[in-house]
Amino acid sequence: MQGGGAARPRSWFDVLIDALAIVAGTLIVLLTALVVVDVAARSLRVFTLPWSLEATEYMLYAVTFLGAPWVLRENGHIAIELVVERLPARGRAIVGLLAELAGAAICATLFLYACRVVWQSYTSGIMVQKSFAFPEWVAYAGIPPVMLVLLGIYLRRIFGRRAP
Amino acid sequence: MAWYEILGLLIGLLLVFMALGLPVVFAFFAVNLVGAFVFMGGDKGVLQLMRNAADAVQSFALLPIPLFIFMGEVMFHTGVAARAIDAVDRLIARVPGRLSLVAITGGTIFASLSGSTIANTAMLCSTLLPDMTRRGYHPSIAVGPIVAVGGLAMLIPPSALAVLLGSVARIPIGELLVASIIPALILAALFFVYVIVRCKLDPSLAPAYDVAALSWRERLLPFAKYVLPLMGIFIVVVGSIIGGLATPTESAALGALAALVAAAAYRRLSWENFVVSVRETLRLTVMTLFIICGSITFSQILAFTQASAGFSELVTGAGLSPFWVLLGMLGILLVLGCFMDQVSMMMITAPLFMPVAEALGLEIVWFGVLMLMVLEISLATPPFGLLLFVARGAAPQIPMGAIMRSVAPFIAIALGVVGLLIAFPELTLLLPRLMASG
Repeated sequence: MQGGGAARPRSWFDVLIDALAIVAGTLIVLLTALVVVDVAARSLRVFTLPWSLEATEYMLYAVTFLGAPWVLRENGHIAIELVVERLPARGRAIVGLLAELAGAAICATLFLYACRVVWQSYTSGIMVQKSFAFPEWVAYAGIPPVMLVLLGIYLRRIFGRRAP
Repeated sequence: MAWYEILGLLIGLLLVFMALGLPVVFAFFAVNLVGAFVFMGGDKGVLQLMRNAADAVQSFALLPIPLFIFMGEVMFHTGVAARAIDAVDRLIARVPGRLSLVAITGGTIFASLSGSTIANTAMLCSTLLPDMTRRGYHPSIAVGPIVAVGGLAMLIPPSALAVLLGSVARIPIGELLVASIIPALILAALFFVYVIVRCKLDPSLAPAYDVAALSWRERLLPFAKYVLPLMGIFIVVVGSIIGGLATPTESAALGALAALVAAAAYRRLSWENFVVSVRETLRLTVMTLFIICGSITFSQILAFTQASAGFSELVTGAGLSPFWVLLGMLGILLVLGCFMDQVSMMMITAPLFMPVAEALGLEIVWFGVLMLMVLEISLATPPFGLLLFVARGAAPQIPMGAIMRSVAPFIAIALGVVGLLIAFPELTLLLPRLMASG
């Protein structure tokens, strides 16, 4: 899942982001296949997959979070650059830095609270009892690492900046 | 704090973060972190925000989004859509503004196979714009129709954004999808007529050129071979929803499979273009759904602080007729659309507008289609219309100012159609009623 414009050396961090995106892309394909098989099997009355609905919901969730760092690295998240574009170069650099600092602060806060949600859920021992039965904290466990990677992307941008 | 102060604070903060150029998803996260902490019980509120973010996209209703996007990306990257455009190109004889008419017809057809406005516009730009430029088409008649018809993918099912609106505004998704078909076709027909009239009045806009003399067989055969089978996919996807045979998710999965089968049948499917299709689907899906994760708590904060209810009471209690309230809401959307993306607009306005629409007794499917129409228009409104940038990326030689001017008449036409739909709700409600009775 290597995106465009990447002339930079590929660090382990980039490989990690790519790997997460590849898993997310694979999940999109599997998700499509699962819904197709489910619909076909049900309408032909061959078999039913009562768990498929829930499985596809978890897959969509995983796709969103696993793909988020890759989209951020490739500048694919929608941003409104209307104001920034109209600033002189120096102003643009300052506002850009401010936005990156804000991004890093937001990701750091989300990381801390995501860790707390996982811990809260783990200590409460709540179980998810639907088609699949598993401890609830498992469903949240992926968020802190993703937030950490997003934070890493912002930190790399902040420390990788050159003076304008 | 009074509800209007809270509403002003939250929206003001959101706009400040957005103006910094921070991705809108993080702007929403930031405002929601503040909002949840201040108004929803401190720490407890923020922990709830985190849970909401995770739970937001675990929804069967959102599943058609990646599937509809995937359909369009497969059609685009395998070149099946370009072949269909080529077949339409052969079909249309020597008429004023011929290539613009090919764009409108082809774009409408592709919109019925793709849930992505970006894929639609990019495909039309890459297949038709170079030819238009070479033949001396004026930007106003080259780029304008492409951007205008590109947005139709948002209205004609499969439409990823219609699914999203249905989901966040709690409008029945199947009904919303089919209700948009007739308005979209009216829009396409009016674009078509506009191009002909404009080029008749000023032939220099689209210099006539000799079209290769083709027999009827040469004209019709490619259409039968490359377009009609694709229309079969549309009929399966939409027909299964109208007939109540499949949920939108199921029909979307069938559509995605059909797109792959069609690409394989035309011998255009390769590992490379499959990977590109998945990659672009991932990009657009994550871009859309991650905003939902970031913004889902926004509506809860508005509800929790009574801002939604306060807004609804203020508007409904002001003694205005439903017509003026409706016009006001659509006007707000139109203004927001100049500065904001469609997903953010939906997440901000749905929690405020839906209670008002319900209190006024507006038909919600009809209201949903009107919202979609305005959201579609705002894809092309300067300065932030997303499709303007897609066109600019595809044709860097055309100045942004010329691109913006080129879409203005099409925006006017689309606003006219919004007026038509307000005057004649039947145009919107006919197909959903058929669906209910079927």
